[in-house]
Amino acid sequence: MAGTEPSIQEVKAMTVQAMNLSKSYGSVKAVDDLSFTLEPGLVTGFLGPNGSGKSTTMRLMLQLDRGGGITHWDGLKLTEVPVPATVVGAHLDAKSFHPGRTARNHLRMIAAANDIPNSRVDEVLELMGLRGVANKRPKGFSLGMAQRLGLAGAILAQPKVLLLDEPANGLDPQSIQWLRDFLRHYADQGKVVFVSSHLLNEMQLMADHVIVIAKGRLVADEAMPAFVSRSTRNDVFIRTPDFDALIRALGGQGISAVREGDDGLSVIGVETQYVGDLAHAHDVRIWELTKRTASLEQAFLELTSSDQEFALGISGEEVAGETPAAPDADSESGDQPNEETK
Amino acid sequence: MAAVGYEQRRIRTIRSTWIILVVTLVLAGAIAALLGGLSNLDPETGERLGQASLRDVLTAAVNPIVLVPVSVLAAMAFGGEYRFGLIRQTLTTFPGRTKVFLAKLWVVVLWMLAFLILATAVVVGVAYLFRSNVDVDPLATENITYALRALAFGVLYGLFTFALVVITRNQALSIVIVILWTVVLESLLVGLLGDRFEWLPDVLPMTAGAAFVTGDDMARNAAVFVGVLAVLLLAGWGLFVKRDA
Repeated sequence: MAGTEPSIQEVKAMTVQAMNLSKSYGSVKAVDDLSFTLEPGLVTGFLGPNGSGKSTTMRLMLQLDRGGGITHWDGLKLTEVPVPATVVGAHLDAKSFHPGRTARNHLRMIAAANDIPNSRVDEVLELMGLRGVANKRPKGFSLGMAQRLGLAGAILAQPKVLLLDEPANGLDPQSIQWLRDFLRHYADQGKVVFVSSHLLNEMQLMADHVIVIAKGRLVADEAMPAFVSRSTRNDVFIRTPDFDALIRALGGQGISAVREGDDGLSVIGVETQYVGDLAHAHDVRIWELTKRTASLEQAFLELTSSDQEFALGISGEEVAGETPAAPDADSESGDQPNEETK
Repeated sequence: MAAVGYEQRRIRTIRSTWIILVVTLVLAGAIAALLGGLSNLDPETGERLGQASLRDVLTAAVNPIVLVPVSVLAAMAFGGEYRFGLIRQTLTTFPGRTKVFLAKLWVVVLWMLAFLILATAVVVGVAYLFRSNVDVDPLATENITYALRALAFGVLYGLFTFALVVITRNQALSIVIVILWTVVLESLLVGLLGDRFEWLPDVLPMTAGAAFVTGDDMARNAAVFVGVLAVLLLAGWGLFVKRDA
């Protein structure tokens, strides 16, 4: 089992299906009939505002919390898996270790449960940059070191699924970059990586796919580019001295624009080339023509900042409602309005 | 077996376990020395009235003061896991909770038994040091049966704390409850209500346990002691399986 990380060919891909997960605390529904599938080979980001039920969802998946629904790990409940540690490695709490047990012994304890040789423990300590503190008691560990030790425990048995709750908390920039590369490499081996984080910029770099929940309910489950492109912040910004002429030209194509400052316009749903051609056709001078791309943070905030936006965000209709009809522009030039935002 | 291996590693790799062992042995030895040195002395004159029996000194091994550290060992089985958030790691490794409960129970029983056997050996050794005052015959049937009853009582006493920690998920509280239960509560109940309810001492578990060790009405006292413990263990197991980790 232990040794070098397995190659892509050695890993049998696994799918994780969370079905109808639910959990209530009194009258409050922390997780409400939540279903999603985690695919192998992808880093799936798990996002939601504070208190949205992310950690509870992860605990429900692992059957640590008692609630409704079930998670299947390649069709099996976790209690039916012969050696669960080879299926899922989880790191849910930053400091989930006995402060008086050395880092090496902490990992050896997990190894003992899974018939993993001690050589694998040393290998993982090396991988996590913890060899120098392997024989130290972790009571004095920084949050970053504690995160590394938790992650070391999660990957010890080389599981097919990694479930990580806020693993980047407390890490310095170099460590975050290392974590990003590590998770990418792990997913590239055909494994499932499911990671929650509040560091949205980091998540945008890290995740291929995103699952967003709010108030325990699923509000988005899609590829990262598709999710980000749904934001109304994906627009084209134009500065022009012929303001009114451009507004008329756009209006003639059924495109609405929002004024920004004295000479700026924001247009959603069209590409820069289309606006440039349209302006040229109407003898409108352009001083600036910029495509502005939303960040994950912007898309996330739009979706979750209020119940109204959240409700609209489920269907994406609010974007379509504000997006002008696609003009009959040159379809092969790529200048047509972004189909994602229609 | 994997869960037992995990648990063995857990208990072996924390310093507290070994500190508890030393404290248990030192306390047992110290109490044995007091009993061996001071037994059968005339309180007025200080003259020796005769040899004490080894059985008298063996009570040191199950003195409540000695059983406190042993209880702490039992409490740590679950208490440490809840206190430091390790329980989620454990239950991710072993999602079958009954298996985890039984592994902890088994390993804690073995370790408490080992500690108490060592404590008994220390007590016998100390008694030997005071052999001019103590009739040291460890192979006498009476002494062996007493020691076996004392060992059983000590282990089961520790399991009271074990069960309470699973129920309360609070290590310190559970240890205090068991100490107060043993030293204060039952004595208080008997003192206040014993005359009115003559049957009361018969149903109090710690009183019954102590009576079992001395050999009084062993079957009934064992049934009371073990019965109450079984109820607590079942309640603990049920809650452990049912509750969020």
